[in-house]
Amino acid sequence: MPSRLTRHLVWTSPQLATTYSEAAHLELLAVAPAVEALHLDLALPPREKAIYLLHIGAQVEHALMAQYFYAASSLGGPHLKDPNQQRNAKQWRDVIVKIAREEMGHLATVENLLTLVGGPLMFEREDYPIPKDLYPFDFELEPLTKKSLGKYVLAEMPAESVVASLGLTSEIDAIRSYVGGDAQKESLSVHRVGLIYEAIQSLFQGATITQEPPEKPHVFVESQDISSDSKRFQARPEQWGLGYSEMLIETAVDRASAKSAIQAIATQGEGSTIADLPSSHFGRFLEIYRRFPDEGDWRPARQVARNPTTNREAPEDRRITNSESLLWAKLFNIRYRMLLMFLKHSFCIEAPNGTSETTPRGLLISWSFGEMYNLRSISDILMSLPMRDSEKEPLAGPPFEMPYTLSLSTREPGRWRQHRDLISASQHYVNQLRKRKSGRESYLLGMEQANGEALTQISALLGGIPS
Amino acid sequence: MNESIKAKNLTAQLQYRAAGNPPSTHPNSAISNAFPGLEMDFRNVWRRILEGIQLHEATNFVMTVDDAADPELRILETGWRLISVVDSEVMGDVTGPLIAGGPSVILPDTTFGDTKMPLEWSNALAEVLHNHAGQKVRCKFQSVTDASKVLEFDLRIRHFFEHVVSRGENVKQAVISKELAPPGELTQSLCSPWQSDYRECACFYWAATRPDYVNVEPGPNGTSIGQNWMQKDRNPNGPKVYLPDDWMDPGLVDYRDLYRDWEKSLRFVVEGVDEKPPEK
Amino acid sequence: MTTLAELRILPPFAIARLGSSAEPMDNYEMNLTTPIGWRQLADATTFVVDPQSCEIHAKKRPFVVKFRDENGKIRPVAPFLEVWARLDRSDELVPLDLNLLLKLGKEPRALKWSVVTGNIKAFRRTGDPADKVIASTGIFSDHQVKPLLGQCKNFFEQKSIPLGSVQYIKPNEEFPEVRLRFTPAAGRVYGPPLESGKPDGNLAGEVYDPTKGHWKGYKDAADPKTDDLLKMRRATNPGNVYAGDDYDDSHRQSWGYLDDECDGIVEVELEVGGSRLSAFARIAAGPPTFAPDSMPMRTVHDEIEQAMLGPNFDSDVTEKEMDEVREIVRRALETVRLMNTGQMNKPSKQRGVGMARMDFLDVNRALEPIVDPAVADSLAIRSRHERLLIALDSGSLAWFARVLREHDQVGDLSTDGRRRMPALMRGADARYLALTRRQVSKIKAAAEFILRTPAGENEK
Repeated sequence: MPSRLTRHLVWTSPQLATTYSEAAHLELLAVAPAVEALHLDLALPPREKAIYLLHIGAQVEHALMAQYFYAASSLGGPHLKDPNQQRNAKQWRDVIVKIAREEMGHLATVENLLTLVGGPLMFEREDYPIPKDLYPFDFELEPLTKKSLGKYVLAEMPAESVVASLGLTSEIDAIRSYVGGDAQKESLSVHRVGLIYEAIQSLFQGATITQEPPEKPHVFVESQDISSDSKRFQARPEQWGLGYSEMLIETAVDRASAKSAIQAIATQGEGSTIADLPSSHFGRFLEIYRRFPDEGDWRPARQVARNPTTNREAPEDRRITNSESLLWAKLFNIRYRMLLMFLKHSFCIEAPNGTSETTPRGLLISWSFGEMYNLRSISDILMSLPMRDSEKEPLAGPPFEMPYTLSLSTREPGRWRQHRDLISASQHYVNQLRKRKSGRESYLLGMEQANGEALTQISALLGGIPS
Repeated sequence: MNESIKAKNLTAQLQYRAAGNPPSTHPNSAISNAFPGLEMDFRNVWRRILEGIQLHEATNFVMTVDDAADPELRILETGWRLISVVDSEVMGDVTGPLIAGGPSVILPDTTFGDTKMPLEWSNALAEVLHNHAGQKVRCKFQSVTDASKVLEFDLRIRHFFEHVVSRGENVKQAVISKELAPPGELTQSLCSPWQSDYRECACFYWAATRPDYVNVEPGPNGTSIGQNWMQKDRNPNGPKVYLPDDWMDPGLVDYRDLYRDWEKSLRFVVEGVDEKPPEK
Repeated sequence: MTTLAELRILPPFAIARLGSSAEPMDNYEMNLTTPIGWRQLADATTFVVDPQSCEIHAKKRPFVVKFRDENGKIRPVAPFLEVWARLDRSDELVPLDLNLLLKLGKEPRALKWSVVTGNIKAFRRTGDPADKVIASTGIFSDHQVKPLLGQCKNFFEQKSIPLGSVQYIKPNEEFPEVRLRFTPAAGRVYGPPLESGKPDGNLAGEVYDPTKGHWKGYKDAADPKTDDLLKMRRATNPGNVYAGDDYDDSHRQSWGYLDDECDGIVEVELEVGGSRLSAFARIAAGPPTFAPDSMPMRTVHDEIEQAMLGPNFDSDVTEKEMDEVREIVRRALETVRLMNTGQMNKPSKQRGVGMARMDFLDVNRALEPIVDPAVADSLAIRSRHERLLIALDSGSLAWFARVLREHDQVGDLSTDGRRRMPALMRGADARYLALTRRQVSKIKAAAEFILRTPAGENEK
């Protein structure tokens, strides 16, 4: 079932594209010939249309990032005794973590494009499992298996024609039958997200000079709505790049850079020629799939939960009930919320102009990195703890649950208070965990100290800002 | 104090801290990114690593040929530099943009116009030393005035550590061999006096030993405020303004202050905060 | 009859630290009590030498760790060196003490000590052997304090520079081990008299005779337009690092100043069982560590360890190596905590900034900040190091290995190259600091280790 966001998208067969559009008062956005057509059921001016589509893109990148990160983290574990198996698991983990990091870069790029047109940012996401309507499959947090790997390959696949030109048709068909279920449906082949990005690109494409007036005028974001000045607020690779040069973050200052930013996202995902195949997500997932053991052979991933949650109303098989794991899961959720809030806030603060200017932007970026390290650490801890009291497996995992709100306060002092309060909230869980004395004492103590320092820095900031 | 240490456990001997010795007596408190260094210029330990010649401690220039060396080597005194030992190159490229945002190109040094830089001995020779200590190794030299002139000699690479013969056995010890550095050589290339080095901006080398930024706290706009360790008359509770380290600035400790009474001008810093100013 | 196969002095290399107080610095410990806090200084077993008896007794504890005496003078760090012995047919070293000497049929005065130290900084520049300042105790076996008087042919008659002293401590029942103490000098400056005849207020002693030697007035060859190129290549790098005034834009003219730092060799000999056994150790004297609760990232010990064990860490990673890697990251944190990274990052032709200016002056690299100024502030960088250290603590981060600068990448001054770790700091070859190859190798090995074992298994 589509979400509140995606229900405005309508998918039809390409033959019906134009007629259906007119009859149903829809707007045709993009067509994948012989596959599918994408329509919008809202009448929106071009800039707002671009923002809407970028919001969808952001949610998708975000969902992919957490999904891949979860899958990668599940690899390895004490159940692997053979050094060759350990080495393979580690190598695959590295590859998939990198892919997850790249999705994060895509997310940052999308936020930059939103900033370019002065649109609101989008860091929201549905909770897992996220029903498929843009993807061939639901987004799920699950341990990496040959089947789930197969899903990723199929989801990141380029168009059928490209697959054919790469000589991979029969291999892909084999993966389809292996994955089974929905994978066998004909309609799978289109990469719906690809169409969305195509539509966005088209919106940034300017007009061309023609002799006769065009039949259907090309709709595009007007130049007056593209702010080259906004770069100061965008996420810049040189600020995020300290050692993370592989994280592709594109900034945009005009039509051309906006288009190439979208293009870069699309290419890294699907990869459309033999040359970029090895570096695309599709290519890299395929490579692992080929080497991944079959069902019944050795198991590269830990037996971690599927879509674990702290939500007491969720189905029993997804609920984390072991008390220690539950505390860590809640701590994870709070730190995740902090990461998203720091990121959001950093977009509101201009990067300093010269080397003498000082702004808190650097601090927020540094704290964001800090939270990424925390999420990784807590994730590993959760994946070594049981989900339920009664049994050793399944192991728990990071729930990546969305908080009740991601809204940022309207004014600066309020924002710093939000961070302060979230830090204090996380400290509550740190205290609970320390009381249990079940290990990880130095990590918890470290977090406590870091919390204390951050609170001191926030005090100083609040002292300096006129309320 | 330990009761005993295995004679072959050289690592334990290197890590040994004698009873009554504060942590700052141990080489793990002495910096080794020596340019030229604080407690010593450890680069000097490599000058005599190749038997028969003495190299420059910092560049790959041949300084002298020993009197007792093979007369063939004498030519190396006329302006030569070592460029490789076995297959280890001792020079590296320096590349970077000439204009901001430009492509990376070779950057020759502004003094001699050399297009390659000498790498520090410690890392450049680590492999050769480990594999060939005590043996003869093929060394390539290049003339500093004519890059096309190259000479090759087989020189013995000395043992880094002292070996003694004990009861007929060759025993390796944990002390740096005598022949590598006679008294005075480890400190010879340091500033004279060391106080003048302290005064030159050494902020970006050894902050953990010679602090730069002290009495630091979070400022009102999310960045830090603090003071320069070289600022005169500072007070941890006073205004936090960091004066950039230019020795001419009257707000900073100057050379004379250091020559005359460095103990008064330089303060110990614990937990990032200055000690109280010394009484007298 | 017991006999010895070998003697050794431990530690093999001891560092003394200058100070003018008559009271040597007490011993202390640096204790890590919290993951990202400062090391805590605590008192530790301290030996006090009785000036009359020349024996040691232990200082009463607890005491407050103080780096200065009552008069505000800095207390010098004066290390002890112990003599250890290997008995014949044994594979172990044991301390040489009164009991062992007795078994060997020897008295403490059977040991013959000899210490030679030097300060040859002037010689390094002038090339004149008569500029060497050398102190030698000659052979001694008694327990009196032996001053190290630095003699120099180019000094005035009867003048010398005190370079400290050594003392063969008298072993007693409570402390029977054979030890020697090296006390460094006070940290004073010496040189020639002023031409005017007025006393030079900078100096503790006017010792150098400018008519005999040329240290006063010496200039490093520094200008390719006027100086001999080979002479320029012989100069130290960095050059012009001696007290003097600027003769012109390129040359500094030396005032002939010397200090009382030194380095040298301590040797001990014992005739036993018909053979003469000897051992030696190295000593050096430098300035105090002014941030005594912080440790540098790359140290002389790391160099020596690499020379001993090679550049590649080949063994299995154990908790010990994990601790060593954490220690490196901790030292990085301790360094940035005391460094104004925002300032050091600035590109400016003026003094008071960091490596960006050196890159420009040395090789003409475009003048740009090293990392983006938005993220260069000390607190932001410190935050990152702290969080990295905490994450390493829980055993789950391994990307650190990928951002380290390799030893042959020191000359990579591209934007990415300059941002590798350690960032902003100068190395021994004048460009960016790289850790020793062994340190890098260990970190990479530890990174593999982290990924192979699940988090939490490392933490007990």
